[in-house]
Amino acid sequence: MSGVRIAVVGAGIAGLSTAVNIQRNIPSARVTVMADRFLTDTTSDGAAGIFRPSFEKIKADETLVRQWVSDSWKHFDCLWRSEEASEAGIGSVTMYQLFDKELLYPLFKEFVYDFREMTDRDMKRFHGNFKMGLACTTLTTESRKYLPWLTDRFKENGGVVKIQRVNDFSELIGDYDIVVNCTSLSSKTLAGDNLVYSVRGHLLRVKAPWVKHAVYDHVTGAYIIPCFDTVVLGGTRQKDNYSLEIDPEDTKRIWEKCCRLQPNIKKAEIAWEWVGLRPHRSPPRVEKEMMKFGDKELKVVHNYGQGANGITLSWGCAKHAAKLVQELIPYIHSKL
Amino acid sequence: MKKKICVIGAGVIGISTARLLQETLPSCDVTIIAEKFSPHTTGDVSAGVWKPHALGDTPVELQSKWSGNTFEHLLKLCMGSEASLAGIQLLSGYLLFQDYTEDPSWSNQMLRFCHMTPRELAQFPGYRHGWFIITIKVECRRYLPWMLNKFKSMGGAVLQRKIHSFEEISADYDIIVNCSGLGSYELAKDKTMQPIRGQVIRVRAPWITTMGCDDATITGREPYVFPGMDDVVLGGTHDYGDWNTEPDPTDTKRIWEGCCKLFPSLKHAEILEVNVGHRPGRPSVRLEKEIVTSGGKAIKIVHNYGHGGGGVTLHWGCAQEAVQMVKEWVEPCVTSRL
Repeated sequence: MSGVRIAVVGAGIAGLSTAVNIQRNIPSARVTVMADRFLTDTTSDGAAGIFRPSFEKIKADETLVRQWVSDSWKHFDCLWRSEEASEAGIGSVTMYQLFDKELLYPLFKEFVYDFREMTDRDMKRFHGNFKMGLACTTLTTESRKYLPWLTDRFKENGGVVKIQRVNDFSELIGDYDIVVNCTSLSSKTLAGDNLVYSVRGHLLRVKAPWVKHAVYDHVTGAYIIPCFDTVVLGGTRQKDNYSLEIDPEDTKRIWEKCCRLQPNIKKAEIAWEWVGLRPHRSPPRVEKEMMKFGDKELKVVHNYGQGANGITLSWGCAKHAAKLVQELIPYIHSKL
Repeated sequence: MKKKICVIGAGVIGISTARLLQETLPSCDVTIIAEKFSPHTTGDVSAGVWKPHALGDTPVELQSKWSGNTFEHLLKLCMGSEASLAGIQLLSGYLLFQDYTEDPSWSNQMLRFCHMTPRELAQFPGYRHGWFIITIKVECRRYLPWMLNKFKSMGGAVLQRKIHSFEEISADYDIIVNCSGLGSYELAKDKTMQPIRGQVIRVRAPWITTMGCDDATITGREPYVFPGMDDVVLGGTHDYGDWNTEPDPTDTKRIWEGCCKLFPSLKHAEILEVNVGHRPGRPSVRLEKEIVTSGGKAIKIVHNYGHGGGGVTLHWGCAQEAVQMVKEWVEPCVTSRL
């Protein structure tokens, strides 16, 4: 059992989180993370990573989703309360959600620090025709700090990072005993999966240190989220759009709707803009597969498709994927 | 003939009073004379959080009126497009107690006030009770210059000078508005005043968006963390009668340790400055008219000083009342109508 060779393909938040969890569960394993894109070139780079999962957005078995959410929350909450919070890019923020119709209380109500309905006076300060509002204090994760932090944790436990583009999983047969697929949208080709598709997101990162709260306008889709040292303004949700080019029309639309919602944004200076392709799948895929390539077989654990909740679910899904890897180990023939 | 009004003091009390005078009494010429301007005023050292405290025996109804009017004024500024220029932001967070504490009189004036949930309290070991609040934070280092610029652009005059007695300037002005804070100890010969020394550490920690404050005020040395636009303010001290202007390393150490207990991640924060300020302590706020005779001449003075730890919290409400008092002298026939 010692020295089992595991390749985690994909170095985004799913890949790194899964690699770290595997190391913790199976200390003797030799884990390699391989990818052709790292850190700021990965999908979660610009996202605010605000913790607000809901059953409507994550269409999977409720018990499973609750477990993923619970494990993730415990991990981020623990990091937030530790000395490492800023090193890991974890912050807390009070978030307001504004609606023009009746509310469904979301899943995350059970986890966040507090959860309340907004008062009329509280709602009046936002521009829009809102009937109801929810307030909660939750967590954000800045990927530009968190991914390097995860990478450090991975390497300090003996993990190896390889710059390698995988065009087909069969390439890894013989060199690795188990492959963990965290390749996000590339799973369309690598895993032959048509259920995963892109939901394109565009956001602006601005300097507005006077903004200390997050706001979601569910009517216009505008959102404002302070994250680490900039404020995120968003957003877009363009289904099946795979373009990573910035569209100035989107920039203009996002800026205008955020300024309308909260005029004190007007004096903010744009620091950087970013487009990310959320890898959406209903349900997110965390499961084992025995992939066949001619007469050869490869043990694979999939962990992708968390869409808009990639950061939020990262730790819970990674923990689940690591458990699935562990379940595969007894089936590996020992090598000399 | 235009009435000439002199406002002594360019802290948060002086400048806001001068601004309101300008707006309310356009028939008057308003001049600010002060020894110190931002960033050297008391407010510049403070975190500028709206929260009534250290106001001695100032009657609660007055505290309420002044603080409530100030909050509404700041709230309007806060959501508007000038918010960042004026240095006004909303701030939510936690006031923490080791034991159950009765709700304060000002609880319904804030944007939000409620008791903390057990999950919220779990973030702060050692505290059994707490309040979640949404209030306003004022960066005086932005607010004072912003107001002063508006004052000047509307024709207000500004002179940099230390005034030692009202007689010095009484010949040049019809009414004096005394907003000299702790300076009134000498200027108004008010020996009921005493400094309430405050020491703070300013750090860079933009990941902190929520305040945490041990609000017990038993020793006056309880820790607090107030994140703002330009830095996070860690405090504090409330040393009555202490005139020392130098940072005390024992205070710095205690503040640092106490605040890192509230937010462990502060250990990685970069220290920017350590500041000391003296809150103008007084048994109660002095907001009243006085006529002083000197050399046969009557000098009309409106006093607006002694706001202790509540300068930012009360400034606009007090300015409104001070302006009303000046108005009664400037337009006596109007206000004395039955």
